[in-house]
Amino acid sequence: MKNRWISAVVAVALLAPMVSGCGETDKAATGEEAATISVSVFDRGSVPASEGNYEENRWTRWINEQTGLTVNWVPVNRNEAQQKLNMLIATGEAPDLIVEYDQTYIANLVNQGVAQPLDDYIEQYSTSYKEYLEQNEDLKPFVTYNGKMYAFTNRRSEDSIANHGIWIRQDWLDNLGLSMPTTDEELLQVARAFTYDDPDKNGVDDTLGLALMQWQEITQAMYFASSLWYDEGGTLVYGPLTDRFADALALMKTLYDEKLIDQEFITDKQSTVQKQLWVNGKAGILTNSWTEDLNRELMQNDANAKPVQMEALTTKYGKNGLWQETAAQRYVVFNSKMENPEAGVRFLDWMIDEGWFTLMFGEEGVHHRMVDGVPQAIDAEKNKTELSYNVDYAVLNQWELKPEWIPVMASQDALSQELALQRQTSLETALKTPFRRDLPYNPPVAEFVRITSEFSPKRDSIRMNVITGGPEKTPEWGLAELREEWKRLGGEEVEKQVNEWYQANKASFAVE
Amino acid sequence: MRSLIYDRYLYLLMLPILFYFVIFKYLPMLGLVMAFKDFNLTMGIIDSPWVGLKHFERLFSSPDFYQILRNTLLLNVYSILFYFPVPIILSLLLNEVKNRVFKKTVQSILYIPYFISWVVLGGIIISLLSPSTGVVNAILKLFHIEPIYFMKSTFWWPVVYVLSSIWQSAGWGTIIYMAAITGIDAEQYEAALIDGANKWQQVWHITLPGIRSTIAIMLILRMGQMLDVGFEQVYMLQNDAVHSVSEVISTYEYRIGLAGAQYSYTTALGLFKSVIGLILITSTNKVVNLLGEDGLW
Repeated sequence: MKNRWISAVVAVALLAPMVSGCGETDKAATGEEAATISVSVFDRGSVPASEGNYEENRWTRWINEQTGLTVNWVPVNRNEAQQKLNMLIATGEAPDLIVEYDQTYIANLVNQGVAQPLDDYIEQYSTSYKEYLEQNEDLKPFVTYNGKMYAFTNRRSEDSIANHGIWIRQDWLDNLGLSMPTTDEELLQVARAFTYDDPDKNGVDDTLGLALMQWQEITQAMYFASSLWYDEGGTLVYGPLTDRFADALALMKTLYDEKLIDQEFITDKQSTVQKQLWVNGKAGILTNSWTEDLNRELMQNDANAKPVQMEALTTKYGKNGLWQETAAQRYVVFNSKMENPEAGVRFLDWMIDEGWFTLMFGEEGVHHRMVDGVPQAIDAEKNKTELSYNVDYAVLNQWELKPEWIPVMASQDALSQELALQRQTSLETALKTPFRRDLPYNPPVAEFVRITSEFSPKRDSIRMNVITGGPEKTPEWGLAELREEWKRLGGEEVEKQVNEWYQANKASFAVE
Repeated sequence: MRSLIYDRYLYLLMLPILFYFVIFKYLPMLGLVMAFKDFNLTMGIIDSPWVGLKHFERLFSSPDFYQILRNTLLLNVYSILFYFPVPIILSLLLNEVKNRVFKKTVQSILYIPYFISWVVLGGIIISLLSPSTGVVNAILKLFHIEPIYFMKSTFWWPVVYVLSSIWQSAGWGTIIYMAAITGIDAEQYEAALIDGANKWQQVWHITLPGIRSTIAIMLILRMGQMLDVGFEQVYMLQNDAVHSVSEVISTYEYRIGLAGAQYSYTTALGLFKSVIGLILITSTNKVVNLLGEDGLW
């Protein structure tokens, strides 16, 4: 009998959380004076336990103090932000202010009626953001849909506009008496010399021309064949379907066939081999990013190594910069179910005005000191705890990094300073050549979004077949295959819709 | 009814589990209506417009669909032909091992890969099979065979897939057969021994018939998964060069559904998959019944 009672208690105990879990309690009813808004914040898992969590920490408290608002932060895992936001929207629990970097996603929210037009609110309530917008008219096209503004945004700093980079070992060039390549043809010649002429002078044939990371986007950009829409005589054409894409394939195919690159890069999905090649001085050229964190290790391993970023290469189509982001950085939209838009505008006004600086660099005298107008970290350890996570709260900012500031901001030891100088030149090089981008954003055509998710795997697989498939898989064959796949997936209809959208909206894009 | 009152505490104990199934297994099935709607995030499942069989029409008219269906079926057929018998053979072999220490050691070694994630196993397999640095190709070289880039070849990739499944889970799969073998009455072996049956005859006439129904049930369950291919394994092993043989329903669902946010379309695909799975399970069960076994029901 006793046992029965125990089991009954256990059963009820097991049941209790489930029952209470069903009745959602409303915590909002507090009766405080301060207006309440909720804002999404990217959860990168970087709030130290001693600081609290993403919902409550020194910076959230500081924001509430400064703004006189109660801001409820809704953490969204950075790696699956859109899925999580979609889920919150679907269940009606989405925050008032939704923050994302991805313009296509914002377009989706507009299409689905999640976001609301903002022109009236800005007109009525805003001072600082209104002013900012007047000074930055060119940002408007990024947030305008059907003639109305649907998002707040701010200008990207130069260091996040630049993206990819191609690094080359200047010391290897010097060893072989070669000059810096300026065209795709010269790049191949240098790669051949790096592979076969013992550029590191160690008497052993153990080097390769290139280590490859991010090579898809980099080679596409070189030939003006990125996965973007290009205006060709008034009609929009999708980059991977142009003749130029075949040239990008041909370059990779030559590199592979002549064994100037790792013959197993296909299965090196985490790029571990590629990284090893570069940091151990076994490859003379690296395609990756302009910041290149691997250079530190390379220079630690080989004191003579002199990595330099190459300037954009000239091809038969001219000279294109590597991928650059658009001028608009983050997007903040107002949920159409939002109750207090005025508080939202007030919050953003404060943010773009003064909030962002402290949120990015901490307090002066505590976290940073100003050196020549540039914030320099005082105590790297302290900042690591207190500042490593705060940048995501600055949903709008006016930060504009100049390349010459990089050495001032970096740590002061010799290697860090050398790397910082290198990075400064690298950023200047990366931004020197403009990247051709004919539209401020991808066309918000639903059919296009659908077709890209099906077309992109085909593109990647055909590309790989051309590169590694031997003499019968020519770049021309690849291009024909791509066009056929595109057609088969309904690409002609997409092109029609995209061009109709283009004709209708062309006028609203600012001339870049 | 009397028994209901009499055993009320037992039923009370069962309630949480019942709730669990209703809430987490049956209620989500309502979400399947998404396959017949154009699911829109703001409108939610209920208010999204009905579109009838639109998503199914798109599915069945898409040439991609037949390719991934073919890949999925082929990988599963290979796996039933080559993987399915392995745990049975292994457990028969293990059963004959008399040295306890040796037996336990072998079993543990066989289990280990099962506990390693595919992320790690994938990396190990790729480096083992590397044409320049891999062990396998080093051995081939001893026999003067040109190195083969297994992971890049559309012929070898499915072979690698099946062999890696065997490596990863065949050891673990023996557990259920080992348990079934333990259940066989020892007297039968004694009787056979007296009748002069040798080891081979004992295995053939006693052990195998003894685990026949277990094999049947495992086969039925396996048939229900004909359209499932473990996502992680394929995702870790596949690369752009073998896309044409390695893209299966689960990776396609991931690409299109999650990455491409086409919820209704992938729900339609999921529903199709479940229906086929159900048909396969019931028909295999029927066949097994006809062969004189109990099956699942």
